[in-house]
Amino acid sequence: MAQGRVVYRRLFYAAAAPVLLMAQDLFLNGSTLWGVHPLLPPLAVATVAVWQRRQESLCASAAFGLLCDLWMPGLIPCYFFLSFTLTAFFIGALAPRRTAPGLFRVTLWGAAALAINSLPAVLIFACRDRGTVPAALVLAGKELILSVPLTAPVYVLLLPIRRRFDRGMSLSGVSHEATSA
Amino acid sequence: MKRFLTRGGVIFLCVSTAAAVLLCVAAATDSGTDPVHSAFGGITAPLRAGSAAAGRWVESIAARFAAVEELQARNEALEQKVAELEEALRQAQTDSEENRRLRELLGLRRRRRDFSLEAAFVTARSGSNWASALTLDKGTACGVAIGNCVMDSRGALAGVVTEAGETWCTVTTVLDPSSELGAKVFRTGETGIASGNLRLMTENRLSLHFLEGGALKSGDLVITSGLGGYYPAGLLIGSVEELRTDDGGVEQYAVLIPRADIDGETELFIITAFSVEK
Repeated sequence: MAQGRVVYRRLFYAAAAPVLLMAQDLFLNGSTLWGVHPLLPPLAVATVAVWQRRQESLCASAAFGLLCDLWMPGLIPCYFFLSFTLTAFFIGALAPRRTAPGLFRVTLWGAAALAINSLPAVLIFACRDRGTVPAALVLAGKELILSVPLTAPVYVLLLPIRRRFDRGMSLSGVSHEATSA
Repeated sequence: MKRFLTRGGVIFLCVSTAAAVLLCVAAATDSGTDPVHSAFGGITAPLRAGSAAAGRWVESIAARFAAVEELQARNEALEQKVAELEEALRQAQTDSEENRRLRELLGLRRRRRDFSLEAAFVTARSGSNWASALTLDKGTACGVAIGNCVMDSRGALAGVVTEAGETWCTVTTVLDPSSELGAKVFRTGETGIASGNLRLMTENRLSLHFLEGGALKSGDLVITSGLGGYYPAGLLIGSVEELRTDDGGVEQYAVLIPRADIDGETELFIITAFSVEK
């Protein structure tokens, strides 16, 4: 029973991934403010990383990063794979696991995910030309400010999956049904 | 952790890492588009084209309800502009006739420029804020190749094809920080390099470097120089907005307003072949 929930949860998260990418493509890539458009994928990575077990969120982030690298290539071929895996690793290591985080904490971790996602780009531009570092930091800041408010719709989209398939499971991944059985 | 190791989690992670490394190696060793990207692009191209067509349909409906007064004012301004252009055309015809007579006198051959164009719709815009790129719905099946210039309906340069699949291609726009083109100031003939800049990209601008003199004026038109024969000459890149000095205070460069509307264009034209006779 618990195994079935895990499988369905993963399937639904996998189905949510292209929905997010389509929303990014259709609505956000053309909506710019201060010359920058908001980014959804790092927020989804942060949400899943905060809710799920470390190992599972690492795998999900790696797969989602690969999909993003194919759908919307970044500065280098495996940009999103690297940044999302790094994000899941840090959030898995630092986020407290005792309580189920609500929207506020997910938003904070979403901001951290955006900062981590921008870090490789800042480093790449710094290596090419040190003079671009201030401009790169400003761009990263604009991206963070514009994207953080979108944590709410991502949270709303993924919350039903968590409620439906994580019911009865603790954050350590142990099913209460399994332990009671 | 033990369950993760025994339940195939590490296998999944290894497969993902191997796929990512494969992507990197393919991109590094192949000067063109790697097979994985090409295959994925070919699969998603119809989806992108469909969603872009739906978006254009919705936009066309919304545009019909736009303010009537604004349209009337624009119409009046355009009519005036047409009248001015007709006058300029008459003058240009006179100048052209004089040019022809002078060329005959001097024995010069007529310079001619021919383009082979492929019309394409924009199906996706860059997902990253760190680059400026467009995805179009035409690819190698229509004769598109890496290095082809892309222009809008007014002949302004939008960018250069940097990736090409069978039914799609990626265009790096003139605003992208990696973009560099040989350029020439139309009025003075001064040559330079028109290049993207990270700071200017967010302002929808690009820069013109290596200027020999400082005789530029605001509004000066900048075109492609065509030196080297890689890109056709005479494509309009943009106009000079202002002159600035770099952070070191040594080099002066010009800030250009691109003539092509990178964010607004839905249809572009790929120059699949060109010839210039002098």
